[in-house]
Amino acid sequence: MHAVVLCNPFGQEAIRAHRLYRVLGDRLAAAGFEVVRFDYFGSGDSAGDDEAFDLLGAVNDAVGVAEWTWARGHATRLSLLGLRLGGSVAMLASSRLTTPPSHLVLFEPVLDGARYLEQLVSNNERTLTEIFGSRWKIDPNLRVRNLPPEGEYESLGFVLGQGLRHQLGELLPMARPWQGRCAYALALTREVPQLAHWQACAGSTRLNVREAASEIDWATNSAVNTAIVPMHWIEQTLEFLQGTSAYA
Amino acid sequence: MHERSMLFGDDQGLVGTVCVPDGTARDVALVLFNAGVVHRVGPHRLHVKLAREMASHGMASIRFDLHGMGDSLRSGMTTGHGEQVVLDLRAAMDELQRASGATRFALLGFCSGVPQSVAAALADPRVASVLLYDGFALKTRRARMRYLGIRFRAHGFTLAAMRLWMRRAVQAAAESMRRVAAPSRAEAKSARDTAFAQLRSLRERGVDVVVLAAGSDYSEFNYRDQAREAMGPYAEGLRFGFLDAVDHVLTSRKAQQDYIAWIRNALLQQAQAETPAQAPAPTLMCNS
Repeated sequence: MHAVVLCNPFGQEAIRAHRLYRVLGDRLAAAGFEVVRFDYFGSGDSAGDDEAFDLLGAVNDAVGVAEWTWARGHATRLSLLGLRLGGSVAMLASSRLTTPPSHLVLFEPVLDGARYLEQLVSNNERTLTEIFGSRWKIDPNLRVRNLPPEGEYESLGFVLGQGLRHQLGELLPMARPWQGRCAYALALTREVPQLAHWQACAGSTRLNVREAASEIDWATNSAVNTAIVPMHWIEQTLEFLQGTSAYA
Repeated sequence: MHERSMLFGDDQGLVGTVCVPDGTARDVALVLFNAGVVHRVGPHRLHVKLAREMASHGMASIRFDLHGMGDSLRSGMTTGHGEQVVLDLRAAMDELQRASGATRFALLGFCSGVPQSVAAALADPRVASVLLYDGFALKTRRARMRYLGIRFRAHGFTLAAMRLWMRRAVQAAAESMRRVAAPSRAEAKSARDTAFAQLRSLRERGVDVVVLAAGSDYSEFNYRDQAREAMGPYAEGLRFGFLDAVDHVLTSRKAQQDYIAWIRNALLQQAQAETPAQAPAPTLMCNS
């Protein structure tokens, strides 16, 4: 049996991605895959406060879940999949598994950790400005009550701890080469040209980079369109994992 | 505190996580479920944080996904959605009763969960408390004027702003005339009176009814006594709260802390005021 471990993104993106992962998991299971969904320590329904979440911890958890999946004894092949930071987690975890995964699927992976961090921070203030409307402009107390104190960072209700901030820059620098270890990889991204350096150094991995063809804002706070499932991603993933697409 | 995720319900199709305090749990336990389409962890993981906070004060809880939401299966039953939600909430109370020994329950309705909580409370005598967050449209004339004042202050009194305000005023007048003429206005008032009467009947049964609103951008709620004023005679015996500096989905961590503290205090105050038939009308609590 082919097992697929789904790695969550971070923060509000994980909340928004829940429906996609549920539908994707159901579709994969119906097609005969064993599917494992989980929350990292310090996220979702798992133990740990928000402050406990960091990138290295998430990678460790993904490795642990993948090894546990192997140990169950049902799987003859194992693959990892992740959206946004979950894609980065899947890629980093793949190189640490005792038996490398056969496939990696990355939906809009984070390519530049430092830029991603900047986006998270700026998105927070922009969102607060929008949701409080006119009040935000004229009420300094409201800003004090909602912005994090000097030296602390958060993004849409999720803390950006020191460890996470440091690791984003350290482990995911823009210029860093492909860090995955697998036979086949599929990356769906809006930044196809920026992934050229991955393709140049993917080594034994057959890495296919394709246009995501999606304009979904995974980090928005708005309830509108919260349950979002790009079905073409699911179809491409099924074809890729089943080896029926032209890319694997 | 210990937590356990499980499948439950007649079809084992509901997914939830029970959070039980160490030691003896209180007799009243908290039921948390979907806020809109967000799965059981709640907006910004709020339900997880609230569940753990309440466990530290001796109160057990369950956070779960209704049928067809989050991780739960679609219902195979032919009942309507409203009835199914009530069945799901009652199944969650059954499960929480087994896990914690609680015999009475507080339901937290978040936005679209407000009418669902009220419906379940009407159907199940074990419900001791309903906390209803941002689920009512209760604009008053004073609230409209205050919001207008805020907008004026923010946009200033320049010529461009005046033109903008003139255009908006014309649009608002036209919209107002359409609303007055629309037959749905009477229907809306009737639906609102029915909802208020349901709250009153819950209160008469001894259920603690708590109505909580967020300030957000001030377009819906913008002063402390607004909900009480808007509900008029139906407000008697209900408790009201207004979280001035938080937005509807509690985006900042400080907003989450304010909300959790408010809910915690409301639940603990009710727990201390038990023997509901003799309980005096609780005092207004407000965090603004």
